[in-house]
Amino acid sequence: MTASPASNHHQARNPSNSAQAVALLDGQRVLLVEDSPDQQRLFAALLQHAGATVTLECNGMSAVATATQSLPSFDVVIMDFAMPLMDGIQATRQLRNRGYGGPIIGITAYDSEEIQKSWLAAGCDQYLTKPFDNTVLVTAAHGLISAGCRRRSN
Amino acid sequence: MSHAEPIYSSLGADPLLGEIVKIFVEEIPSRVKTLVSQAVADDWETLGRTAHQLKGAFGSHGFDQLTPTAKRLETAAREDSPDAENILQALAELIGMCKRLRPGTPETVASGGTNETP
Repeated sequence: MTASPASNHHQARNPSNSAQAVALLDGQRVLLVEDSPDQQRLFAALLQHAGATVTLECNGMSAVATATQSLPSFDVVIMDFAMPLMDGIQATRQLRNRGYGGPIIGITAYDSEEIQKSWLAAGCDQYLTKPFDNTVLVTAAHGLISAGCRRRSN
Repeated sequence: MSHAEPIYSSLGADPLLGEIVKIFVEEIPSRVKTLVSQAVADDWETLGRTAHQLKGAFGSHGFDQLTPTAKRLETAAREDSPDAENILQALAELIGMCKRLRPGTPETVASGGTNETP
């Protein structure tokens, strides 16, 4: 089953509630692809706090290599858009072409419908526009994993 | 709000993220230095990318107040024909706000906590 694409354009911010997400991702393997060190640090802390094991990559090219070589495959990939070497849309397309069937969440500070459409067309399952409520990242990953969001066996 | 008044993160009291916000605030002077170097070099394209990254980072770290100014800087730097005066004006405003960023909360200051200026 594939989760419906969604965006967070109208989500309200809700500070100081990161603890609510505890254990939602217990035992899940997450590939976090983000080139900004401060965002890596923040998102990794949120995901780890929710119980996930987080692997970090800082560009689309290395993310594709890591994801396609990883067995078992990652339970979810969380990917930034603007990155050096290969952007998030290209990396998503390559991951799908190479058989990665798990959920992919796109995150970006570009509030652009064009980017959103291209990314969803490339195989992204959910699109989050920064800044977003910090619990949204964990709940989005949890929601897609729980929904059994798999496009094809890999 | 006064132009000298400290700006606190909405996540300053978050038990998990408060420390991460503190590290982010400590790194701000080096981020500002990067922006200034790019402006001095008239490297508007790179400056636009840095402003874009900061725009997302300010919001993610609970400093939503700075997001519109970072966005204005990004937009100005990414114009087809960038106007240096507009860019520098947005940059000066953003730097002024960056200097007011503080870790923690106003309450930690009131109770004698350590909210040093970075």
